[in-house]
Amino acid sequence: MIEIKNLNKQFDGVTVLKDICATFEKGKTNLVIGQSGSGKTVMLKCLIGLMEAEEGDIIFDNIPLRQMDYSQKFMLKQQIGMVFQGSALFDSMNVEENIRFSMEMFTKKHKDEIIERANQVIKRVGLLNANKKYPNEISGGMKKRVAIARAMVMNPKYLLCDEPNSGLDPKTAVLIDNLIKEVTEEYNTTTVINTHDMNSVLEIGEKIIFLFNGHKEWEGTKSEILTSDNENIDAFLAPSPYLRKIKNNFINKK
Amino acid sequence: MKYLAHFGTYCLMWRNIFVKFTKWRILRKLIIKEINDLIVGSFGIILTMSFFVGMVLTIQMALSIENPLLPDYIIGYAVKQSMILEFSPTLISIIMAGRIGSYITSSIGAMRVTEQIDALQVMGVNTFNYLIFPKIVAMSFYPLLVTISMFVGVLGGYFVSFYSTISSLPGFMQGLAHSFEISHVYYAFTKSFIFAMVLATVPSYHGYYLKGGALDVGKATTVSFIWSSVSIIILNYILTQLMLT
Repeated sequence: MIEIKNLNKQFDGVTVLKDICATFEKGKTNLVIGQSGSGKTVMLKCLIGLMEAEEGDIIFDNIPLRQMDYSQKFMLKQQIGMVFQGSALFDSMNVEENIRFSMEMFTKKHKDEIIERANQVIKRVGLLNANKKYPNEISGGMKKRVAIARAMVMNPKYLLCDEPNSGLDPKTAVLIDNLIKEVTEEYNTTTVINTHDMNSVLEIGEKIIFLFNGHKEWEGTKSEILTSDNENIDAFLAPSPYLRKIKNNFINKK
Repeated sequence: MKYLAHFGTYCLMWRNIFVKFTKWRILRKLIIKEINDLIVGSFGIILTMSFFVGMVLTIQMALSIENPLLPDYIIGYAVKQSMILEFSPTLISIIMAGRIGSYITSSIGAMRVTEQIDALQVMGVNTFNYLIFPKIVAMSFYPLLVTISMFVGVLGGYFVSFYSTISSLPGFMQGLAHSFEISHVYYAFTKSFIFAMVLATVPSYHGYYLKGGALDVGKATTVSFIWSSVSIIILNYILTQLMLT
């Protein structure tokens, strides 16, 4: 479980996160939604330690990040799997090497064991016959699968994804969403997904947090979000008159 | 104030490189790759430039020193001294700031903009050590390139003396052997080692701390070349003052 308490972050005097409080539950897909610039990525970067918040606490399984010493932080990093928006695969390594990297770097396992585990996760994400291909030789959807496989290979306790289906066609986006959901259940990870894809929200959103202009505007489940009377959520879910009409029809039928 | 902040960050970067080492098995592969890219990959340009500069130096010396009172060996002596003291360690380093420096800045900068460095950090890798230390080790072989440049430059002068009448070959050979000071070679090697460290770290700094997108990689590469060259020129003066006077 990850808890965020009164998180505040500023850039050059401009507040981008205001008093954010949230709890991300274990074994669930926790979605953080909001418009571009609402602070989703900054919040995720604070969670993984790439940015430091001025105020507030981030608590991983009852241990605040600020109270962790160097070795605890190092151990925590081994338990975090991260899927970046642009996949962030290492260009100089092929698919298998990308996935093996963290195991080779941080475990004392034998090479054969590492290769076996890498192939296991490659098979799990449905990436057969791509082991020796380089990132520039595979499609966007395959890159996301490699990124998920790389995040999974160390059996993480926390899986963090920054817009995992951005730039993908709707069909592949659904496949990636479902893969993350399956992985969450299989590995019982605390999964946090940043997204502004409504399909993801309705497909896999077990717990949803809506950020608006840097503050938490709303929190609930996917069944609650459609009937929410919050104006900002309404504007986010159905920005055009046509979508608003569809949404209203859907709610009326319900 | 801004430059002071940059210098402070650069010094902290040096410290961070040696804080937590990457596993030797991984580091070894990276070092071999960097030696291949930075040192072996520079042989061609070094050989070509040094040979032709050696030839040009000989011709210019011969044309400038036409006084019959000056001894015949002066051309060979001047070419040898120019190559050892200045051209090979300093000018080659400035050329290498373009070749090696731009390669380092753009490769690290591209990793920064595509979040590959963030990915390494999230995994718990000391990115300074992982990315920069192999380059420092590879560049410690840089004085070898400078030595080759010295030989090839002198060979260029020999070639001109052999095939043209502009300078006599025996005079040129006598000049090469005349007043050979080993301290000049030490000076050249010390300079080239220090320049090598500049060439490995200044471009790395500009790539690592890059902010922005693909366009900024290009800008950072240019800035890195300027700062590497300026640093080399300034250090060249300081080292010459310290070691030759």
